[in-house]
Amino acid sequence: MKEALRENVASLSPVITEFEKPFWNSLQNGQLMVQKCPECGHVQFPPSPVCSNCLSDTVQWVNCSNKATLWSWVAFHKAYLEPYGDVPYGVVLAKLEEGPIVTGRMSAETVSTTAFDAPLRATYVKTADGTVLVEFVPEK
Amino acid sequence: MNGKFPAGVAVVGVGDIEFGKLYKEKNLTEPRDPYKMAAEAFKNALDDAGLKKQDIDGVLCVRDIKKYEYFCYKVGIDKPRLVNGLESAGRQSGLALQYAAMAIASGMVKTVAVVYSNHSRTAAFNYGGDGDGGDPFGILHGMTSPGAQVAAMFNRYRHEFGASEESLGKVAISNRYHASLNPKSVMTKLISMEDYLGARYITEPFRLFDYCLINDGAVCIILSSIERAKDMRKPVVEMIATSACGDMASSYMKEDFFYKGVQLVANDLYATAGVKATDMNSLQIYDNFTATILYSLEGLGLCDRGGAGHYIDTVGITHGKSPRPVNTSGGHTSETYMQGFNHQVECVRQLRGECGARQVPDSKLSLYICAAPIISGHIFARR
Ligand SMILES: [Zn+2]
Repeated sequence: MKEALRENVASLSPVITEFEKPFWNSLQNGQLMVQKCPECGHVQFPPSPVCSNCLSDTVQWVNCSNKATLWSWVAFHKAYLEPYGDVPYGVVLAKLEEGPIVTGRMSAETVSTTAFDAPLRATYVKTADGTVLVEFVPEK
Repeated sequence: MNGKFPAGVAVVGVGDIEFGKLYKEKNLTEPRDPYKMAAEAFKNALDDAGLKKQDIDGVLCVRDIKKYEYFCYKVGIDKPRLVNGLESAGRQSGLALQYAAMAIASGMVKTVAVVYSNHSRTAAFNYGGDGDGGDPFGILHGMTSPGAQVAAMFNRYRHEFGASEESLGKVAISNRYHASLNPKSVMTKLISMEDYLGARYITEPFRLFDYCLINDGAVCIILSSIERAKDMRKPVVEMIATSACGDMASSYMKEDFFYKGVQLVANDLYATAGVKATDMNSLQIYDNFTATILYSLEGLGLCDRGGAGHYIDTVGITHGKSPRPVNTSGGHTSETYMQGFNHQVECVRQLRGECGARQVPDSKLSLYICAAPIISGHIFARR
């Protein structure tokens, strides 16, 4: 299924806290952010209110480079989630250039034909209900 | 108590119920009562130990009876000196025994019943659909269930170490063979590699036979001091080592396939017990999914990293062939998914010599390990 046809994805969205709001706003505007600590340089994702390395509370949201490599993937042949009834569908674990591993969209066909560690690029797709998802595509 | 903790702590009673019989009962219109199953397992464990309920001064309740007050009321234990409930995740089973051992060794209590009950099959519990605790971003993108996380790990593992899907098949086939020797098992029909590879994918690369069974059941394990154990009904089984280690990350998926955490726990176990991995007569390895056995064999130090497939082919994991068979009761994929409790019971029964056709001759040492976000393990010894 094209991500643009996917419905009711927002039903899977977490309760967004005041602290995480900038992250989700940015995603909705088509940019994945990670956190960088100005004190020690540590980069982290998913977000934390403090630097998980030095506990500094001055961590900053920074745009990721959108560059990643394929760390692993899984193809769901069983439908667990209502918006993802289109089995088999793929999920990719992409290792960002900045270090953290991020879960994103990728079709079952693309995941199984893309090499491990192959370069990927993060793109942003809007689903039928307006939720923005990260879709990784092989870098040409 | 003497020696290094947990030396001096013994398992004195084990009780479970007929998992296979329950599984075959169809057409139930209501979920099974988890307290009823728990009470049956509790009575069986008391009988096994030759104890009365008045001898129990500690109760730890796990999973579907975590309303511990209600369970204690139902079995008439009104003033336990240790009582609590633990969450439903399978990682709790090893920890529950560890907490019981700590309480006994400290002198807080004399005899603890750890009681577990699971009615998820007839209550139609939706395993896998609630995402993955720490990672709300993943579920939004369609990622859910520990199975998918471990499947993605196996995919990476396969890439890094050249493992084959047949290595998972061999685990599933061996588990099923052991289950065929265990009259209590849910699944007893032997499977071939053709059956394994021909089964449908659930979360590719995992197929049907890589998955634990969802079924109803209950288990009770009673622990006490070794001095008291000597006066009880069954041969004494001492817990000679126990250890745990959190493997904390933003999701169930671990980039090192639980290697460092299992290694830390295993090294603790060997050092405490003064034994080696190869001294074990059987290994009971938590297998929510077959691949977890591969990761565990490596962390236990029985083979090099990435060498589990080779270990299975050369040393072996199957009763009658391996010097230390793995999951002699059939494990989670074939005996029953009692979330590690059935594995710990099997350690005890092997050491007592109660295992009939699947008995490992002259069993002196048996190891339990669970690779999960909290890794735990024990070594038990026949005394
Ligand atoms: Zn920092």
